[in-house]
Amino acid sequence: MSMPLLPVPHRTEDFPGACLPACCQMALAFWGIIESQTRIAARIGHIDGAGTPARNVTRLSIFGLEVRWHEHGTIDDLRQATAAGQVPIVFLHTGELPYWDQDTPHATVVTGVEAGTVYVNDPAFESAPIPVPVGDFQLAWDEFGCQWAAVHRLPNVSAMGQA
Amino acid sequence: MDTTYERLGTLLAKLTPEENWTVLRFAEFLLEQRRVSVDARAARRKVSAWLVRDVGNLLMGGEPEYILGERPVWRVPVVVTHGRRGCATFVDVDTQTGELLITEDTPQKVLADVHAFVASPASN
Repeated sequence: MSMPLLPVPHRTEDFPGACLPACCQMALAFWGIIESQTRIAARIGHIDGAGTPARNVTRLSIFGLEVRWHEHGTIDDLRQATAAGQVPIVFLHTGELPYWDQDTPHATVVTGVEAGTVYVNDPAFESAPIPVPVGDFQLAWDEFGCQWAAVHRLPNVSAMGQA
Repeated sequence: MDTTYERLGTLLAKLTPEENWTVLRFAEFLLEQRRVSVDARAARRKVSAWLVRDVGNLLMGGEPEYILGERPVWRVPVVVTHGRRGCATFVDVDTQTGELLITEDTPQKVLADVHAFVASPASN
């Protein structure tokens, strides 16, 4: 039986290189927190030209969310996370993705995993979700050590960390 | 085997000293490569993962170059992918152990090199 996809609101990049702020914006919006990409970029330490050290996504905890950083993840980890209602942000090499024609590091949100397909909200594209064959996804993810972050809400904590 | 050495000896005798030196260096290179336990792709991926995690998610490793020396390394370009695209600096990877040859100051140094690269008007 197929799992429903996480209803993560889709967002596109507001400025060049804003893939990670856009993914953070999607994860926040999923939990009902509305923030601009510019403010998120400042919070996570975005630097023009270089971007953000990816594990800085844990700084989203200031919004009352729990963010767990992982390396060497597996497709099954993503399946379990989405099934548990967590929003995974993954770091990919677009050269391996069939719907990309550029070769660049990139962040996307995973909204679900079914047999043979990973569904992503890709902030570089207007339409979402985009189905990606699991083999292509794995290659794109492997290139950066299968790094990912799981974003979810702490129980009994509202936005901005106020209990 | 003896015949092979004799043939090589005859061949080398026909070369100039400079050509002999080049052949010798090439033989050394081949011997060094046989001792490499980390391939170029693994080195590039290691650098890419480190860049994305600890420096900036818009940076990645480029095509490594094998550098001979007392401690042979893969020299991996740090590729800037947004704005002015190209190589800003390098990170070395030990070819035997796969160890990234970095210190705690390396992220700041890489960022400084990326800033200088992005700010520079020169073409790639």
